[in-house]
Amino acid sequence: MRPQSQPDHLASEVATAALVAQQRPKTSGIMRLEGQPRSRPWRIATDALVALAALGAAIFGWQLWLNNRDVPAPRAGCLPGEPRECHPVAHPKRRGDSVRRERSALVNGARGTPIVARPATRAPVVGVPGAKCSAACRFAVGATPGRHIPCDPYQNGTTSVASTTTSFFSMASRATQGRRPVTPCGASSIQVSAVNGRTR
Amino acid sequence: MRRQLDPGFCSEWSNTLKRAFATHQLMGVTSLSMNRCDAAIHLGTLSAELNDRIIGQLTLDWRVVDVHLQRVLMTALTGAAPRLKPAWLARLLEAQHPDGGWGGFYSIVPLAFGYWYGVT
Repeated sequence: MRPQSQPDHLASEVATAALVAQQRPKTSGIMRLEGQPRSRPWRIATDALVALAALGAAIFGWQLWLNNRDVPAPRAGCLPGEPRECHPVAHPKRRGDSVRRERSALVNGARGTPIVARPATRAPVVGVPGAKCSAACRFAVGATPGRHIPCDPYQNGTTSVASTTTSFFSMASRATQGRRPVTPCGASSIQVSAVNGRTR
Repeated sequence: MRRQLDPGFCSEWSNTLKRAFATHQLMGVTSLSMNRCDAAIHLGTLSAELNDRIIGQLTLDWRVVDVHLQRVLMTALTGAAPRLKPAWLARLLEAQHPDGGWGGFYSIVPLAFGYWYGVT
C-alpha cells in the first residue's frame, strides 16, 4: 500500500507548489535575478514619471475641452485685419479718474493708454465716464467709437509672435480695406505662392 | 511650382507639433486668387481642402500662439468664417495684450515666483 501512496503525495506537493508559484506576483527579470525589491530612487523616479504623464494628459484634456466648448460668440473686439467699428465697452471707473484726465487721454491717444470712448451720438465725454474701446480697438491711436479702424496690432501693439505672422496681418488688412496687391499676375505673385511655410 | 498646387505639398515638412504649413500654403493660394491668377488652376477646390485641414488643426491644437492667429485669420479671410467656433475667437481675444498685440507664450498653469507653465 505504501508504494502506491507516495506518488499521490508527490503529486499533491507538485500541485501545491505550482499553485503557489501561480499566485506569486510577477516580478521583473532584474528582481528575480537579484531577489531584491526595486531600489528607492528607482521607485521614486518611476512614480514621478507616471504622475507627470498623468498631469500632462489631464492638462491636454482640459485645454482640448476649453478649445472646443460651446461659448457665446464674442461681442467685443474684432479679428486682426478686419475693419470693425470701435464700440465702447463699459468698465468700472477707476478711483481718481476725472473727466479732465479722460478727455486728455482721448485727445492724446497715447500708446497703451486706454482711450476713453465717446458714445455713438458723439456727446461729450462727460456723458460716459468709465467707458473705453474694446481691447482689439483701443490700441489704435485716436480710436473713437463709431469710427472704422483696421485692426493692425503690428502697427501699434507690442507682439512677439513670428515675423511670418506679420505678413498674414498685412495681407488681411489690404484685403479687407479693398485694396488689391499692386503686384500684377506674373512672376512676382508666383513667388508669393511659393512660401514654404517656414516658421520659427 | 506645380507641385505646390497639391494640397499635401507643404505637409511633407509637417510634424505633429508644428503644423503651420497649411496656413502658409493657403496664404499663397489666396494671393494667387487676389491677383486673379486662377485661370488655369482650381484655386477654389485647393482653398477648400486647405481650409478643411486648418479647421481640423484648430480643433485639436489648443495652443493660442501665432499659428492659432494664422489659422483663424486665414479661415476668416477665405470666406469660411462661419466654420470658426466662437471658442476659438474668444480664446484669441482673451490672449490679446492691452495694446492689441499678442505674445509668443501661452501660459497654462501659474507656478511660484511669477513663473508660468505654458507652451510656445
